[in-house]
Amino acid sequence: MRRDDLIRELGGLIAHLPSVLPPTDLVRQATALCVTARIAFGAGAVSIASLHADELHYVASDGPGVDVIVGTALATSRGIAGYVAVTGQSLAIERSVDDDRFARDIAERTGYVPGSLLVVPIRTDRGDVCGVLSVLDRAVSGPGSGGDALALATAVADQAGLLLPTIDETGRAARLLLESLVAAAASSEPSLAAALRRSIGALPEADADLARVVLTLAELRHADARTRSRVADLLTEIVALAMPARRRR
Amino acid sequence: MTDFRPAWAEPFHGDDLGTVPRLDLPVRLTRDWAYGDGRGGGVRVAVIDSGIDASHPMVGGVVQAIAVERDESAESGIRYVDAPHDDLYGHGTACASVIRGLAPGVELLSVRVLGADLKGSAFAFAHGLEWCIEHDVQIVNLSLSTRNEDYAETFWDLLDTAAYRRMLVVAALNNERKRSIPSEFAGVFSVACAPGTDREQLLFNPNGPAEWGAAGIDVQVAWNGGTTMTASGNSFAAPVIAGHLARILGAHPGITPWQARTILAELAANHPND
Repeated sequence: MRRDDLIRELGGLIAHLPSVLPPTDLVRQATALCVTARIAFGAGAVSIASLHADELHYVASDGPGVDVIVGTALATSRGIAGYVAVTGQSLAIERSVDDDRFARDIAERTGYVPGSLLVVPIRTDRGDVCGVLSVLDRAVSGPGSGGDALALATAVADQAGLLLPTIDETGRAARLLLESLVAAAASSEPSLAAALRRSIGALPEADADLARVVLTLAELRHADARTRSRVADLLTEIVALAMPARRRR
Repeated sequence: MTDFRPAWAEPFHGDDLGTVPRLDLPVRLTRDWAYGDGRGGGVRVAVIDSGIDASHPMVGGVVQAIAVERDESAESGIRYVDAPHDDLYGHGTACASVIRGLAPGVELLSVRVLGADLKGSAFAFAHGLEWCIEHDVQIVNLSLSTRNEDYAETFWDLLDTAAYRRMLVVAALNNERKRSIPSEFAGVFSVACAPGTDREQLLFNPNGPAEWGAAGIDVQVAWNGGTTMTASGNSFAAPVIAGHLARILGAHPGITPWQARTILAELAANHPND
């Protein structure tokens, strides 16, 4: 393949990364969480979206239109979900179709227009909003009703909060590597490996550190299982020591 | 549906609320005396939120619209844009409609503190509150809160200043049992949902931090595009209290927040004389 073609192909791949990068196992866990929540609420649909700057990326869903919803990005400047992501305040509304900014495009594409919507923020264990959980058309009776809807949704969101940061960080690391690869391929450096290191060095410090960690860990593929396990244990302890104490309330 | 119950609303939904502490006034305060004509005529009420759709029939116009925006070139890091604006989400319009419904004579002001470069930051909330203090606003409805502890002292200072300028700050507690700044502070009229949808009824919890209970579950509110919604959340209970306070200030201009509190408590549905 010609270098120009390679660059073009990698560029195209990066453009579609949000929908292909999240690690499969974690996304399956998030999807399973949506399934569980949908059953518990007796709901029409449940979805989990991850917050990236000014967008919500839908990473998991259960219910009608799941193929359309997962992989979709919505601006946080609109809609009920956007409001919850921006303010961290949950909202419950009926007849959401009345809201002309409520993801009307998605509702029309999926053919599913909800009558009610409960949206709660998903938070990291540090309390920062990292996404939203949306419950569409929850049942009026059953385990998810009777004054417990918000408590149940918050409990599900807390579980999602354990998954989303890992999904996002893994995706971010992979994106960084691919971006570096494109930069390296576009350079005049004869050795791709050397060009890759050079381009990682040009990244912002925090991103470069993350990319370097991933590259270094990639060397572990040559190690035996016992060594890999020991390195993993060691890393876990180092990270625990390095992270500042987290305040909990 | 009544399956949505915000965490801070619990005191108003059980049997433990108790009654308003007795003042044993020689004459019981009446609603007529407290509210006057009940219109809140001329009282300046600001909604610090996502903006207000001034053209919505349930809002009935705003006298001023201010948008807090980031401005890196300014020393404060923000600028105030004084011009008509939209409601980004519909939430501020909903709050405004509740206030207008209770006190049709108020002068509504929209102070927008959400936006692309603000992201619901405590920084923007605080500047919105500061603008209100400096522009003779009499009642502020803040159906937003922050968990950011770094801003606690800033809000304490602002609330003290507001109190001494006789500005009443009404703040909704978060729907989850999370840190809710400044809604948990004693200097605000902190509000959570009470049972029912009757906005004429309010409850007083002398033990706080959810001090006032008002209708906020499955209530009808205005939304963007001239529409209405049935919505639930402490966000929609706070403007009920703001509306009642507007009536009181309309009838008794110049009273302090502490006097307004006393009058409001005497009107609570859990008053021992009821």
